[in-house]
Amino acid sequence: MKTIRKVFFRSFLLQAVWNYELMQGVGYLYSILPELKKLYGEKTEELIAACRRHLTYFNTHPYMVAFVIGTSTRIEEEISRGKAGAEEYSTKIKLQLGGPLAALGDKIFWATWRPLTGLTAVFCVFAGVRPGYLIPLVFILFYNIPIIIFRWRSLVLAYRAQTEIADEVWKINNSFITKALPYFGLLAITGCIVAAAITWPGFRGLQLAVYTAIVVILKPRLKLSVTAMLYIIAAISIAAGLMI
Amino acid sequence: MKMLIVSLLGGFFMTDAVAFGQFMFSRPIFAAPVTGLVLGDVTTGLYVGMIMELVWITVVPLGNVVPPDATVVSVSATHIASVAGGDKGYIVFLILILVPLGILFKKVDVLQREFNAYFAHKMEERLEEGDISYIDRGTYLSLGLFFLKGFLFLLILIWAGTEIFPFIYSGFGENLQEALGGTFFVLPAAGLGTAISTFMFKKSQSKDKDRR
Repeated sequence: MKTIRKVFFRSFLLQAVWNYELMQGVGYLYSILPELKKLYGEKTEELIAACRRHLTYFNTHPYMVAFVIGTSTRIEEEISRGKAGAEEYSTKIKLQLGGPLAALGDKIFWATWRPLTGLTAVFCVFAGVRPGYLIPLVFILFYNIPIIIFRWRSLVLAYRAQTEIADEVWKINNSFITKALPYFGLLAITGCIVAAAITWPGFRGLQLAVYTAIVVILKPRLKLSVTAMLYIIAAISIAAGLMI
Repeated sequence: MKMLIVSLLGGFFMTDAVAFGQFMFSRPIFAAPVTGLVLGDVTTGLYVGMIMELVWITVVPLGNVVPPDATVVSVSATHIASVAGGDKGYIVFLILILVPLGILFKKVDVLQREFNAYFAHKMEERLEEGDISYIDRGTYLSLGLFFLKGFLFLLILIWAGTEIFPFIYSGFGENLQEALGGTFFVLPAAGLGTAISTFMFKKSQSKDKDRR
């Protein structure tokens, strides 16, 4: 358990040496180093061989890496017990798991959980929640608690058994939360505009709704980035402000 | 002195985006108001954070893509705006002028990611010699470099910005300043509208240029 804890904390540095050649490869080796030391002993030939074996290209979603660590470590255990031919499999499994897990992680965390929590926090700013400093603090807790539980749990689970892993991730992917995102997102955006209409002076809320509609109409047609839209909105508004 | 504290804090927030943890300290809605809190002006931080968070809410760092840096813009804009009193028109002016610098920082980030291969090669060499100590050392060196890069970029940006930007802004004249102040209330539309089109037409998401 002590080693698992060490690996868990070290896995936060998975991308510390991110580079275009090995991507997270170095970070992966850094993460599992305590486990390798435990299996092969300090300063042994086998330890150095294992380190060299794991210093290869590797890439996945940073929150998903625990699944890979758990699985590949169990193969390392077999190698340390002297199972022949497992060396090749130990590095192959990293690539086989890394790609699909990255795609899942992007969908679950980057494309769902992040906008969901971010929009909620932004809504709180629009609604004028007081005291203001609570907004970033609650946001960071609300975002991280499930993530840290997930990262820890997936590491422990992957150490124990292989088959449960797929079920766990699949459950999250098909859960209510990923499906509800578009509806929740639209609700939060409407909430922002309604809150602006109530709390902002004059017809500022209505104005915001009109400009938002302009972006919704223009963006897919012009195929411009959100940064470009920022400047277009600013240009229209400044021009309008100068004319009046 | 405050400049130094904010840059240190901002440098830490910026390592979170890639090198350390991904706890979202680097998100504008956290980084900007916390910067404001340090400077005793949470409101300005919340305003900057709100606009920047909306602008980057639909940007997803896919695979080996380097996303534009929202943290450097959020922290520097909050600092420069709040020491000048947190005028809304000034906030808009700062965001518009600092976003290109966020893109510049992204380029610097790409350079470091290229340089990082050096650490990986050195690690390989050391392993061949039978020395495993460089696995830890190389990782911490690279992490330090990530931090130092963000810290220095912020320090220079905040220092130069606090000197130069008020001078430019005061030369704008009342009409333009008022127009910028009015723009503050419509600027969130860029992010809100993009988010709507992302949620409504899932397909347009993959075409978003910011993901490249």
